[in-house]
Amino acid sequence: VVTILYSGALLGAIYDIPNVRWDGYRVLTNKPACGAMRGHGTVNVRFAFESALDEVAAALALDPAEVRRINLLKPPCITVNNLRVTSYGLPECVEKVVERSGWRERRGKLPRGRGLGIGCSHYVSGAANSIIRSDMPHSTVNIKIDRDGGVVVYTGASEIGQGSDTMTAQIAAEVLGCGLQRVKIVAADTDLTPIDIGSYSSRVTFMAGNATLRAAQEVKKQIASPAGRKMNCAPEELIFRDDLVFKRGSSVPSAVDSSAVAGRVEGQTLRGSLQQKRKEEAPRDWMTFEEAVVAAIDLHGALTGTGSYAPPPEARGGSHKGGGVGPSPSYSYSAQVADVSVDEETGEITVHKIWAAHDCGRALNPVSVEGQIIGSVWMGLGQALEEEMVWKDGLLMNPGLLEYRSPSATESPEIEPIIVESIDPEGPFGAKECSEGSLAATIPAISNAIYDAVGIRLREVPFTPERVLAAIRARDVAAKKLDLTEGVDPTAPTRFREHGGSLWFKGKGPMRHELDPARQGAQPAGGDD
Amino acid sequence: LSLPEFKLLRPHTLAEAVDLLGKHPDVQIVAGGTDLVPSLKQHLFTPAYVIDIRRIAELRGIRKLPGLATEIGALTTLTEIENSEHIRRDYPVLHEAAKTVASPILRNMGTLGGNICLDTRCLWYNQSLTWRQSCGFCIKKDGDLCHVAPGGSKCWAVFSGDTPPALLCLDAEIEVVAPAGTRRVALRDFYTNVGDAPMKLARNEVVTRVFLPERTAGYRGVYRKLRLRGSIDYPLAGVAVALKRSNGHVEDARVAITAVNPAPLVVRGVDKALVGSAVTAENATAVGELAARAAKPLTTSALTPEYRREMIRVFAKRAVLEAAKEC
Repeated sequence: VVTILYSGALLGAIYDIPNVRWDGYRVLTNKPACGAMRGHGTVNVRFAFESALDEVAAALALDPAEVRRINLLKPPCITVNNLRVTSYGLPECVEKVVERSGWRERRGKLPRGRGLGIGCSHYVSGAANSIIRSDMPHSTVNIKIDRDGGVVVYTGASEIGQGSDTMTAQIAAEVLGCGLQRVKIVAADTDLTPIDIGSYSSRVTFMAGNATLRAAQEVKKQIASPAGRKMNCAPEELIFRDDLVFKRGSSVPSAVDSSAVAGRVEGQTLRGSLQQKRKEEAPRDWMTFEEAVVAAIDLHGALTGTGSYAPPPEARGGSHKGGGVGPSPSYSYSAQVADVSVDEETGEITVHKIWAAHDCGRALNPVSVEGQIIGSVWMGLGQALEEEMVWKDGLLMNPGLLEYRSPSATESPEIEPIIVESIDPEGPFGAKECSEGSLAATIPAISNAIYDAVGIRLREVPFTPERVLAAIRARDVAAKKLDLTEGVDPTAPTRFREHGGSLWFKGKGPMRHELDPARQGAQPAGGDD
Repeated sequence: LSLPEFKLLRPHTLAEAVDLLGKHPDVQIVAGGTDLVPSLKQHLFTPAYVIDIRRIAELRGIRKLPGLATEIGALTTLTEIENSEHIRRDYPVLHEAAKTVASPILRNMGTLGGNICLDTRCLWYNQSLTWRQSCGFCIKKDGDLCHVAPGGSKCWAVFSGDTPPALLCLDAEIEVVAPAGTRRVALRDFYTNVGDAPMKLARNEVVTRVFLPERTAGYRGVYRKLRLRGSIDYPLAGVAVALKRSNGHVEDARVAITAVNPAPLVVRGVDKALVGSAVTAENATAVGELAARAAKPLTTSALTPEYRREMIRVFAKRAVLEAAKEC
């Protein structure tokens, strides 16, 4: 259900659309249950919508990139279905991909069969309502610091390969001004860690990240008050950086060479704080991180902090029916240009290059962000060109990875990821989603590039060569008609597929074995699906 | 998906292997294993014995027999053929076909003999036991009906080897060894064009050598295959072209197609269309037409049959033009 609701609810959060009507249908079939997948609720819709925008541009003889630029939102704003859009890097994304791809110079001047296409997409940084509306925090994080200066972060966020542990450690270390090597993450052990609603919905950096940020700030406050007392200044005047705590404006005596200092003091702190206290008679301008931690533990008894995050009420959507779906504390944006060539005789498509700009707020870890962008584009490429589940009378015809084709290295194009930083006002250090939003732009970018190359509009993925060729033949009225898809023209599906399945598998359904009771009855083989 | 139980036999010499083949009738031969092992896991074969012939050194390698032929041992891997300077220079069509098979990793394991004896494939056949059970099996294995051509009693499972069409273009012969003796057959007489018994090869016979005649050495050659991915995939349609030119005219030309019939086929009438004239767009198109007419693709594989036949037409035309251009 959620995917269908999202498909409609997110329509308004990318372009300025004053009126939206959305009809969604759930169809009961006997296929296996479906679930949410990367970018769910935007992928199908973006393909349709971005294709439609391209058609509008063609009809009005406008530059497709320009049509998108004219229709941008003007944030901060509230959309027609009460979504609150704050940071909005889409204009810059479009600008960047247009510039890098040579869109203005190259488009329209490419040789026949080659074209450029643009597509945009967006995604939530976590749903603002977790199934039900409540004030329950979506993420909670505990931090504990020991006398040795080791920082342990307890988070419920599950590392599923996306880098959430690294993100958590980075945020904690950044707030505390300590080295990353001090931070240890204990993640997703429900005996030890506080609640986190999970790694999905592109929510972890934004929500668990914010919770980490708040927990670290709380601990930092506890460290700052005794440290300030020792340095004869207000806690607000202290700066935590490079494993040091120092007074604003003070010259840190070659202490930037912190490794030497830390090494020397470490032995002392281990021997106990009394000894250390004696050494520090006179007030100083700076302390090492361990010294500050020991001072804080001496004062408070223990050094722990908790932070949690719940999306603010104003970002939780309107009160209308269904208003709870779609709102997010912030949205990521993506624009892509694909450079594609089409063989008009065979319908084969070659994707040469994809420029992908993604607005992720602030890139906490640029390498991870680029990896996510490349991964999204590649996954979109698979959906656009090859991947499809083919059903025949309840049988999956391609259950293995030999027949369910994900792109191999040979046909994977060069991908140029471009990070756009819009610095979100509410994300941790301005960060927001970067892992799903890019996927939905790839499919329309490729499809629009195909249109630019050979003037055919594909309305069904994947763009297998037979579909492309059938559409090319349908375009060329003069060309020899050849029914490549048995009356089911992908450009005009006038009748339903026999089983709602694919074009590429046709033929009669399975004939039952003669001992099979289904064959004994009056039911025709295959039955009605 | 787990392997069925069988006993593995690993002979060191051909004589030993033939002896074992004579002793055990319920046997499968494995070389590279890239075709057989997945099929074993799907319980398409449940032999009592599997003979691993990889240790037989005499069946490996490419040898030139001066004045006679080039002999390729059946255990020569596709990578070895791809990297052979001799094959690349004298039999370019085989070189091209070998280097398009599956992926580099599979070519390191897969052998030429295995590619010649590749089992025919079908969407209704190359599936797990549970899957096949759920639709009442098919005529090729365990069942009595064909889902691809319901009502018929013929199996249409498609031959999907890449190198055999190239070998057919080169008039290759193969040596088959059995306990009863050794025979040498022309490759074009080896295939039956029947999906469930695709080769004239008894279960206790083994293909040991491939001979490429001196006559066809130096023929220009091109192999083109249709697949959805740039790697890994079996061909969905394949065309091999070998031609010889003298003074700008075609002296001899052959075209063979694969992956659209239960056997790789030599396209008839190509010599009439090409020999004695220069290659032009017109006669290349005519060859494409002939090739497409020979192709009988059915829904045994991905993509519609109409499209695959159309691609045979396009690829044959392009391959002929390409082969002519190289001179």
